[in-house]
Amino acid sequence: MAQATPGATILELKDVSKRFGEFYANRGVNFDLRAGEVHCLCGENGAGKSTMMNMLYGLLEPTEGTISMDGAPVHIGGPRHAIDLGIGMVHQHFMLIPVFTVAENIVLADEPTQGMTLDIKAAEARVRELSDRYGLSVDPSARVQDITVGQQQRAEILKALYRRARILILDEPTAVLTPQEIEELLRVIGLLRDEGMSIIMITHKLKEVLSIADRISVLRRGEMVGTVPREGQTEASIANMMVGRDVLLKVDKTESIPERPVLTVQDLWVKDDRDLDAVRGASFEVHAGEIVGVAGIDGNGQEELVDAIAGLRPIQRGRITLDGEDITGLSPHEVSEAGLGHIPQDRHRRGMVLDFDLRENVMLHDWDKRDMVRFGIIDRAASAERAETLCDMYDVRSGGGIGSRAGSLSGGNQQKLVIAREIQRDPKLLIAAQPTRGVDIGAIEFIHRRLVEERDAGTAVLLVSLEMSEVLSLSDRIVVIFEGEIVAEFEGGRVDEQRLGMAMIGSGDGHSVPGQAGIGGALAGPEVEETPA
Amino acid sequence: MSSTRADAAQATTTRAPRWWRTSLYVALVAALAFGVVGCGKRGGTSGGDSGGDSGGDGGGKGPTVGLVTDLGGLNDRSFNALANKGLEKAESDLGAQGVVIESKSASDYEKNLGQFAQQKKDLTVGVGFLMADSINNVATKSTGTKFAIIDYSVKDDPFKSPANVRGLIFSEQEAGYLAGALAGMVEQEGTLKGLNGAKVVSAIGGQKIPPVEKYLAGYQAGVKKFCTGCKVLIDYSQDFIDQGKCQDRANAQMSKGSDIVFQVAGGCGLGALSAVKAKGVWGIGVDADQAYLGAHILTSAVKNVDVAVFDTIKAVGDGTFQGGSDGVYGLKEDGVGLGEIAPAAKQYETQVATVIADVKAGKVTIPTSPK
Amino acid sequence: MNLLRRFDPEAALVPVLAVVAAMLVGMVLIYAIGYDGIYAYGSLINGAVGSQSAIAATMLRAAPIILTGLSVMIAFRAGLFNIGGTGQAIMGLLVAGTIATHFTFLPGASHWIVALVGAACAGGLWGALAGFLKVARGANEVVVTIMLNYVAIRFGEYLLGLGGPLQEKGSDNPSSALFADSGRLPKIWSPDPFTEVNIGIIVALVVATFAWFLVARTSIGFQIRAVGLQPDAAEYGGMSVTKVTVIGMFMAGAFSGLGGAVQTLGELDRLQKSELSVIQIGFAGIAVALLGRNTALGCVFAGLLMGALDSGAVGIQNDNALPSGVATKLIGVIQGVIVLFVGADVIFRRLSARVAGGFGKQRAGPASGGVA
Repeated sequence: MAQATPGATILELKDVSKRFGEFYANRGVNFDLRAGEVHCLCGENGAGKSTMMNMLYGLLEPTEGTISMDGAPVHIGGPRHAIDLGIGMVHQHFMLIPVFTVAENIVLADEPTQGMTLDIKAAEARVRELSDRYGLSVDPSARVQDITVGQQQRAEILKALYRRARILILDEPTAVLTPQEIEELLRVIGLLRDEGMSIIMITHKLKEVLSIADRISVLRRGEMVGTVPREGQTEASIANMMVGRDVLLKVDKTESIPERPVLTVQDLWVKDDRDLDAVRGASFEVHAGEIVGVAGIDGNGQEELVDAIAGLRPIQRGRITLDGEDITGLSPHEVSEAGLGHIPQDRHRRGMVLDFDLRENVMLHDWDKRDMVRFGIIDRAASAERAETLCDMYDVRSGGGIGSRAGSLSGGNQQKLVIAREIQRDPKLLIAAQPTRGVDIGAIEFIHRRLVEERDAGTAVLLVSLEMSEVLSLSDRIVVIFEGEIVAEFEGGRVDEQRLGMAMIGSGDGHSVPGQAGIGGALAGPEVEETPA
Repeated sequence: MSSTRADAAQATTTRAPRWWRTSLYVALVAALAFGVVGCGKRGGTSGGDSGGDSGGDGGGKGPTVGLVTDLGGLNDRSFNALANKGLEKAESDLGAQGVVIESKSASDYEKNLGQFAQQKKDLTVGVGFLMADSINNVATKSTGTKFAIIDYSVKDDPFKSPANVRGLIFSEQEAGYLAGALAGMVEQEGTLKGLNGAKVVSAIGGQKIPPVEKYLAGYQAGVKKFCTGCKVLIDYSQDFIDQGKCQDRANAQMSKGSDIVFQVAGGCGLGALSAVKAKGVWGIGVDADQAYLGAHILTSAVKNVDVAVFDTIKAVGDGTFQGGSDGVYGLKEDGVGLGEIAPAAKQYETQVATVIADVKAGKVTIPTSPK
Repeated sequence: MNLLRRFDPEAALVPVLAVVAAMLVGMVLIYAIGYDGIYAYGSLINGAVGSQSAIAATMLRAAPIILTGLSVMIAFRAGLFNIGGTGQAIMGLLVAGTIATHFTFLPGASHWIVALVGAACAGGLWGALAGFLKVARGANEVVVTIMLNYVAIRFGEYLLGLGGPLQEKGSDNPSSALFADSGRLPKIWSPDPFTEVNIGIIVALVVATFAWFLVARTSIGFQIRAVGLQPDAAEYGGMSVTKVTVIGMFMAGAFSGLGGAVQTLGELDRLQKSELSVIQIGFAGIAVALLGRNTALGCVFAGLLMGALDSGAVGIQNDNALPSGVATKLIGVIQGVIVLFVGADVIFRRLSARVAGGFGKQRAGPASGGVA
């Protein structure tokens, strides 16, 4: 790896702007990267981070301003040129070919040739050497389709290293990872820095920023708010820079006033896709006017539980009622009619049709409703009006108004659209599954506030989240799901992360579980308040 | 259907670089173009001389003729190809000016015939009984131009003997008789490879319709005449298309001892001939010379459609064309006959020639429906 | 993954480029075998659109394949690949032909209209059967529709075969009796005494408009698109994938059934057994839908273009611009190359989307990727 003097500026953007028509995606941005540092780039969705990185990677050309490397201005003609200059980029969505092996993917554009054939053995050896050196454990001969997302990411990083990158751009690298994988990634990034690599990391997650960054730059609405060293920063201070106002990381809410039970689940058994019991005899209630959080580590039956309530998955046994009406075994349509609003955990798969525009997505449930459809014909004016209203109320930002393709929206805006649609239906029960996954800080705050407002308006809210802090800060009551069973129940505000974490790993008696330490935090003071029989 | 594009800033990251897509596309187009051209050149050397009349040769002073094929197209090795052969002969011998249009679907018949009628061709020829309705429709509207239909009588429905249409029909019984005669001689002598000595031959008809019945009747008579004690099995496939059905019938007949199978079932019959080949016995083709199928084809009972077409064009040129009636083409007119005789059976050629002479001389009475 | 069906300038450009490229390939081919390409293309254009009669012939050829193209289109929108156009067209024309022959009690125009409606219903039910087998038994619709093509052919051959219920009494031919005049499609335009454009082209345009409206503006079209694009999201939206699949296949079958009826009642005089196994409009519909990018408007243009090429083949033969038997093959090659180029573009788009979208995205939408 070409070593520059540590601390010297190797990459610099000076007054760089990028304009699309009248719209400035970046305006007058100044940015510098020093050799051997981790420089985190933060900003809300749509703040212009990706535009900036695409200019660095040669995918976009700056409208104004200069990019310099090692003090000399450069014109980056395309990704190939960027690679030649030593810039490697790991995209949010990996650019790997599933049927090729890791090594084949890595050498794809840069093959060591032996005559006409690919010298795959030499390639594998080099990949192995690199992966050993940086602790990026991944089998070079495994097919990409067979390895985990975390390993795919490592393959992407190896690809950049293989091409002799000295600047590595990571675009939201932790968005797709499990907590363990995140920890592993942060360790690797540290190692790469120690080896002299200069790293730009784009992320929303302030905890990660504080744990890994040397310096932090914040973009807001296309402009650079500032660059600060990590020392002395807190989550709140960075968040403040990002949104330009103080963010309520703690949700401001009053004591809940629970009313009648709206959702009752009794002895529910549900199978997963592999035909194994995923939910095993779960029973709980959600009352009008309260938020019940379901806490649990991913894969403990949350998804199946939610699907079963929504009618999207058959129920083996048990009974579900919604505001007194038995909804066991009803179709999704019928459950929805009975008063369910559902923010699904996977908005790309379920929550919206990505190739529909916003207007059509807003009426996704309403294809047979009298206010949207007359004699089988869609009332476009009515649906457009509703879409306009909701986009306005929920600040859904899109390139082309309600005619925009939903898939073109940023994650936060997509989620706001889904939430707007579900709340607008005035449900009796609102299920919010991972409502803030992949969503920027500003939107998180907004979404949390909406959920609390719904609660205050008398809706029963079932919150399912993998983010413990989210469950803790929003829930009036918390049920803990572990291996498909409800193993604990807490009053909101009367439990801390440690005790909740213990319950989530199914350990009510203080035994630590190896490898799970990241979840539960410190493993002290186990005491489950109410454990239903 | 209508939607604006993604806002550019977000969308760009997820799209592949344009050059990549473009260059692949260009490469594919180029590869295909070269591949196709390569094929084209080969086609040119083998098929370039068939018409030889690029760009409307004026030369001839003979009649203008339009030929409409049925769905089989010009490469059917049967009626369409033979009709075209007759037309080409008329072009070179009589200076006729011919145009051929191949039909791609049944609904093309009337369009294609109408095109010729509109151009006031001296003669428009339609191949096959499937075109009967269409020729009748067009001929009714175009009384000033002449038409001929191959293998169909203008006395049959839907025609009412229109004055401008001539049916070209064939004495199938004579061809059948020759084929039967050869089969009988072969059985009687019993020396050819593959014979079982049981003295059983057979035939498969497509349906009980006049042309088929005439073939079968002649075949039966021919076998009986030249083979004492020979048995002739006759079955109908009720199908002219499905090869499987004729294959089944042929296998059934062979299991009853048949070692010479005469197919009278068009495309379906090809299945019978392949069953025969698999068993190592003998088959007889129909309509066109099917010797190209292999050495197991003893001979074929053929209709010389080319002769009938040439003759009709000549009549138009001479002013002797007679509409409203059928031209019947028999052995005497060289309208029917035998195809090539299998190399192994060449020794019967002289005997067969005698039979042909007898039939031509009218010494033989051949029935037109099988017993 | 949806690029097939979304209208944008780039998507409209590709079919045009494919046609131009295919024509160039054809031109090269003609010169390669030693003939005059310019002259041949002059004849082609003349035969396709060079006279009123040529335009009429093109319209006659376009009408049925526009309808079968719409059939493939609507099924595709619901995420289904309908290869069953042939069988659906046959069921349609059998019913239409039977009504046209025997239901002579129907007064005036109602006769052919009822025949067309009957054809739509018969084709629709045949299509719905494939849809039903898919949702009830999990049978792949591609396989099922192909199989049902053969079933329909054999069924028709039985009906029209000697002694079959639809065969004309007392005839030696395996065909039905003549259609009653009132059962045939009325003629709307006769540029010459032998070319008569019937109302079929109007039927095709009306159905295309209907198909567009259905897809773009109605509740069922909304459901069809949602199911076709993202079945999981459709299910979440409360739609019944089962119902939509069956309805989508019914629509597809109805359009193909109409295609068969329009061709038969418009241009033929009776049902013929031997024609059933050589019907081309079902498969032609796949090419039309592909070239038309699975839009209703696109199917109209593509159908007219394919029809024009077939008419152009006749023009080439008429002028003896190419040796006998070569013109139809050449047009077949051009049509094939057009489809190949359009198809290749689709494949490349999907491939590049796959590489660019990578894995992170793949988890999000495997279902929508799988059906396209």
